Amino acid sequence: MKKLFQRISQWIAQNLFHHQSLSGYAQPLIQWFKPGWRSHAWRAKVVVMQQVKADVIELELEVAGSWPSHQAGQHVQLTVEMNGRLTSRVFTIASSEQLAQQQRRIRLVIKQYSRGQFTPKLAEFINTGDWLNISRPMGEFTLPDTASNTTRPVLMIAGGSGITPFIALLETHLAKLQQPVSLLYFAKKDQHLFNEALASMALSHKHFSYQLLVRETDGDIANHLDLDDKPWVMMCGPAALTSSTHKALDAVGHNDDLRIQEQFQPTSQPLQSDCDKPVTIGLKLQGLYQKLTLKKNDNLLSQLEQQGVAVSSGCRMGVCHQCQCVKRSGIVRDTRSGQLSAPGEQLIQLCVSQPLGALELEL
Amino acid sequence: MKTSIDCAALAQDLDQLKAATMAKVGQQDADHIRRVIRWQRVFEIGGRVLLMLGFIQPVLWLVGVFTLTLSKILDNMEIGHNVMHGQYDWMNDPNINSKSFEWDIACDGQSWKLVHNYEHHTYTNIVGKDRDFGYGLLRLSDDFKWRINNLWQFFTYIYLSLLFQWGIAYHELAAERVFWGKKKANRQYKVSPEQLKQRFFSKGGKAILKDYVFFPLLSGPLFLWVLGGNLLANLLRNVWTSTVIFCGHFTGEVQTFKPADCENETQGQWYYRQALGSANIEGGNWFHLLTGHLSCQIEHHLFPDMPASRYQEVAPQVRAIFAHHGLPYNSGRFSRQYASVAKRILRYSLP
Repeated sequence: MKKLFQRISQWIAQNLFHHQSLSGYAQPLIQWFKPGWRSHAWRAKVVVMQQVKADVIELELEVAGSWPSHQAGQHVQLTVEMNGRLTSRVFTIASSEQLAQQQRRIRLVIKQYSRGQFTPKLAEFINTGDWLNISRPMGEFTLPDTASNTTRPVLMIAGGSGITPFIALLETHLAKLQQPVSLLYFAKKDQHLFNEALASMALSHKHFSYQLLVRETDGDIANHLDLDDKPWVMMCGPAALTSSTHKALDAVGHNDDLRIQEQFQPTSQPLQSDCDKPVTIGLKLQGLYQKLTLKKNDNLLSQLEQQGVAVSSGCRMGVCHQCQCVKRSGIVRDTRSGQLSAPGEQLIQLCVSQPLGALELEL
Repeated sequence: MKTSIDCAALAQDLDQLKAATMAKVGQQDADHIRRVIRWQRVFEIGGRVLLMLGFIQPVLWLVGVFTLTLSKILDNMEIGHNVMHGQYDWMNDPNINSKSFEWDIACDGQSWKLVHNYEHHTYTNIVGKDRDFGYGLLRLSDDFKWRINNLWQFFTYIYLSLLFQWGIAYHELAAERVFWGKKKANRQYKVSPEQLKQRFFSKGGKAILKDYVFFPLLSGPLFLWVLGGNLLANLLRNVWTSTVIFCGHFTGEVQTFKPADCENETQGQWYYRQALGSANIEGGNWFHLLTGHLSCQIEHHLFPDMPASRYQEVAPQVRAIFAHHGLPYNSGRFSRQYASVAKRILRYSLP
């Protein structure tokens, strides 16, 4: 029934209002009554916004009633209109499932990278009371059912801002879990977040313990692992931390199936200026996905053509938009102005774009 | 292309102006296009409702016709044309970008984008490459051989204006010789002729279904009121768009070029060709908005993907740069430009 309704509404939108969807057509009108409403995302209102450290900002958002609540450990794409541009980045939700379900609130704790194009500008473009947009919750970094129903201990390993999913997981599950839960939390000196929250959780839950670690003084992760009880290991942090954790786990023959890992990358990837180093491009073309290796010093259009990819093209000078495609992620340079793109999703013209790092494209 | 003008210096000045203006593009431009889209929605819905209220008071019907016309003009020109040029793609808005936008006109947007943005804006006014010069119907320069049917081409022009949306829809297909004409064996199609043909019938069908079947049927006993209102709104829109476009492209001063002119063309020579191939119409803010800022046709041809909301701002600077380099800046009041177009159509109807 719902499907039928959707099809009728889509037919009306496309045939009578020449628009992909009725909600998209009506969006400018709906925004009169509901500021920030968008057909492609959910609304969220900034209830609390505070600078918790010099380079860390916390947002508490009130989410729309229709938003499908998250599972602890999942992330959302946050969209903010910055100087007219809808700019999106992905952040892990650092609050419990209960808070979202009962009070329709979620908390994001965002590390601000001085070189980034999004995080350092948040305070400039949003204020308490503003409306933003969030996507549906995404991600697989959740506590498996099998983990909560056994006596096997849970070991959490966090690095830097990789602490955020663990706060959601602990706030959500700690009261229900029977087995010991421990957290090893690496960060730079004096840069640990959530100190009070962790302390109070350890105080009220006898089966929870944690250590705040600094790599320079406390040494490698291997020195701190206690794997005698063959615990579940959940890890989230920079690649250096997770790879050394895997190495230490492999060394004692810790079962692969008991490891749960979140891929984690800082939002602003450092740029590499070396031109001859090849870059890897993920390309989705008519539903098919392929990987290609390209050079940095030539535009995307001619390189794709050389590799035999069927791309449409026109003027080859950035005028006609024939070769336009969706860049899902990655940074390109505009060959006309020399400007670098933002790392998030946007439309680019292949003929005037050079790849500067790994890219995901959809043609 | 031979010219006494220092094209490299011209390119430098215009590039600089473009970069400086594009750096300013932001919230103001996003707010502008969003505001126009919002009012277009108000006019479209309001117009369609008013058409049905004609039975209470015929004046309401008349107001409805003008409101719907206004909606279609905004949709086609300030919104559709400019959005499909990619002028607002930087906004990252899934509803406002050249990849997905479709307009309220018989011509399929994606096919139009293909021919217009590529053929017309790359090869502007190069006879034999830019078929927009005279649309293959009118003889507007001596580059074309005189034929007997050029004698009555002023009437052809009137028909074309009245049916402009269909003219455009058909025109985009004629390029690829979809219906008849010689098909070159080794021709590389950007889109297959079958796909173009399918899009033509599908979009044209939708246009007819919408304005002449569905909305009239929806109004029940007021079928004829709505049908007539839609017909009139489409006609008014056609005449308006065609008039604006003719004034921007076919005034007496507008020059044509030869295919050889664009071989190994530099950016400066391309700018030069754009400068001589277009004309501006002067008017107030409202007038510019209703022309989709195609009244600033010169600026549009120089910077096709700059948000049109900036054309009025850069126009005086473009004019100064042209003056500095000794280029003519074809600009004039609407009445003057229109008279110039009419004269040109009549002049070339004779050998």
